[in-house]
Amino acid sequence: MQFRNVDIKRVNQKDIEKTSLIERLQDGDEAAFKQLVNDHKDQVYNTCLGFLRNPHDAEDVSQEVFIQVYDSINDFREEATLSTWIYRIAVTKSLELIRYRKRQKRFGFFQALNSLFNNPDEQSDEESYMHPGIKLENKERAKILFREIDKLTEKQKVAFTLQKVEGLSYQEVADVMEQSLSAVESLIHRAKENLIKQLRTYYEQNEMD
Amino acid sequence: MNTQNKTDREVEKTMQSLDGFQPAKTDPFFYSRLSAKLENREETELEGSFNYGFAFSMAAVVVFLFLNVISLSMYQNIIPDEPATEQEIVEELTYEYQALDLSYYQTFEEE
Repeated sequence: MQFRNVDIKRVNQKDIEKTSLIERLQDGDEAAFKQLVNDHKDQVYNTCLGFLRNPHDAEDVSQEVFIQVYDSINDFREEATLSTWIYRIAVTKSLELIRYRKRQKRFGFFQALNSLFNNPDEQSDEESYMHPGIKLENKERAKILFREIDKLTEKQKVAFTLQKVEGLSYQEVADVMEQSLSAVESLIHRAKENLIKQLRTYYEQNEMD
Repeated sequence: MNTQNKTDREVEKTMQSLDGFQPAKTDPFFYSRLSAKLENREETELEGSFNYGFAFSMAAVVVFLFLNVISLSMYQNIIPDEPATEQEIVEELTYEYQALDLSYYQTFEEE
C-alpha cells in the first residue's frame, strides 16, 4: 500500500511538472522549449524516420514539427497528452511530405529533368537507406518489408508503423490517430494480412525468377 | 508443398525482421540547428513585414499623387481662359434669372 501511495505521488508530481511546462511554453519561456525539444526530439525523429526512411528528410520534418509546436502551443487544449499531440503533428507532417513527393513523381518528365541537375546520390538516398535501429542480419528483409509497407493504405501504414516500428500500444496508436481502439485493432490486423499476402506474392515471383 | 512451406517461412522471417528494433538518436546539435532556423525565420518574417509595409505605403503615395494630378487636370479644363469682368457677370446673371425682363408687364398693360 505504501508503494502505491508513492506511485500516486510520483504520477501527480509528473502531471504537475507537465502542466507547469505547458504553462511556461505558453508564456514563451525559451528554457521550457529547450526542455520540450530535448525530451521529445528522439521520439519525433524516429517517427519521421519510420515514415520517410531518409535521415535528412526526417531531421527537416522533425524541426518543422517543433516549429509548429512553438507556433501553436497556445492552441493546445490538453484534450490529449503533450506527447500524443506531438506524435500527431509528426505523423501529419511526414505524410504531407510523402504526398508531396508522390505528386512530384507524377510529373515524370520534370523529375527526370531535375535529376540531370541534382546529385544522383541524393535521388537514390531513400532507396538505399536503412534504419540504423535494425539488426544487421535483418537489413535485407527489413528493406523488403518497408517496401511492402509503402503499398498499404495510408491508415494501415500509419497504424502499423506506429505500433510495430515506434512500439506504441494499441491505445496510444488510437489516441494519435484519433480513432477508436477497435478501429486501430482492425487496421493493424488488416495491415498484417495484406503484408503477408504481398510478401507471399513477392517471394513466389522471386523464386520463379 | 515444400515450396509453399519455404515461402511461408520467408514471409514469417521478414515479418519478424523489425523485432528488436532500436530507436535512432538525433545528433547533439539538433536544438542548435532548430533554434537557428527559428531565429532565421523570425528575421525573415520581420524583413518581409517591413518590406510589405514599405511597399504598401509607397503604393498609397503613388495613388494619392495620381488622383491629385487627375483632379488638377480636370479642374483646369473647367476654368475659362480669361477672367470675366464685373459687367459680364452681372449680364450673365440677369440673363440666367431674367430679373429685368419687363416684356411680360408691357404685354399686360397693352391688353
